[in-house]
Amino acid sequence: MTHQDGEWNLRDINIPGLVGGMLIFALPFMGAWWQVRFGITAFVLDLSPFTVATSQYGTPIASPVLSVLSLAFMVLILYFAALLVAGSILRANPRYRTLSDWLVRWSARKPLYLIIFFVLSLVITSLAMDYSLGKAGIVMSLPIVIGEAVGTISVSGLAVTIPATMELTMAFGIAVVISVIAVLAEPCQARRRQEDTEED
Amino acid sequence: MDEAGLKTILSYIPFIVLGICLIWGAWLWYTGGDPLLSGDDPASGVVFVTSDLTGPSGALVLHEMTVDDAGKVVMTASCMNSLDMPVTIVAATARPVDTGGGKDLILSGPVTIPAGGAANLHFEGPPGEADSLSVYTGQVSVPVTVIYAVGGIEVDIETVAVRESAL
Repeated sequence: MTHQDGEWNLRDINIPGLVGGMLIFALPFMGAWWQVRFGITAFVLDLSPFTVATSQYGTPIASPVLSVLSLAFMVLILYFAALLVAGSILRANPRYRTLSDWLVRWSARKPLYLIIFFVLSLVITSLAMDYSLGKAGIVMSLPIVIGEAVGTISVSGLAVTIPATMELTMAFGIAVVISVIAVLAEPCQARRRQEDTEED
Repeated sequence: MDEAGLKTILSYIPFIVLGICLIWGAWLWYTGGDPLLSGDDPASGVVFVTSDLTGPSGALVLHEMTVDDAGKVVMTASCMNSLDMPVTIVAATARPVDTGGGKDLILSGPVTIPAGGAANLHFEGPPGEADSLSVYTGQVSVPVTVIYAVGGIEVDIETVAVRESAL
């Protein structure tokens, strides 16, 4: 079956791209991807590319700089989600095929890149915290990214015990799944094109 | 606008957004600082570092412990909180190790000590333990473990003085 220029054929919509793009819209609003906790409420860090929430003994610590960067990541991921959705839908019209290919190629891998960037940031953050605790005289071997540890300080008859936990949340797992779906949009886009070539 | 122009614009938008936010963030840092990145402590000054928990006048000091008998073993220790925030003592154990085999006395319940204030901690143990505690007369040093939790961080204070037994 061939399609005339300008004719919309909904069967040609890039389904993984459309689904992935729609799901990416939810990414910034799913909460923290990684949580670090010293004690129970002594120091809590909830982190995702779109959220930086820290509190000390229940008192929030605002970070204007990180908040702005989080806002930037949020705007960008929503932007790429919109491009992926648009590219996936435009795939249904041969007139916009070139643009559609470019939109999908430009946006599909961005969530995966964001996750890779985030994980690398976590490793660096973990190592930095481990180094900082050592400099502060706290005997503690922090895990990298996930795990538990107990640190101690012994001063003048006082032994301070500091339990620490690091964990990736369910939101991170969902983000990985969404990014995989989005990445699948690219081979799907190519496969469709090949089918079209065969049909033609 | 042709397709090439549209692609160019769409390609530049992420860099423009990132640039604006970086400049905005730098401006915020320049004008007001950033407590998280600079390491300032806006909360209370009570952190898990040593500065607030050092020396004999440290954050939480167990002053004295007296032994009493009211049907069962009850020990009372006064405890001062020099922190600028309330502290809840969630668990404490008085262990008369000198007698050997003596059972631990357990804190009767969580005690909240107001900021800058003091409170008594009540330890209780099963009847019969008075015998094992009666050896304490005069000024005896007994290892006592007091665990208090500030935001889940535990502090053990291991040595206190036990005053004359009232038994």
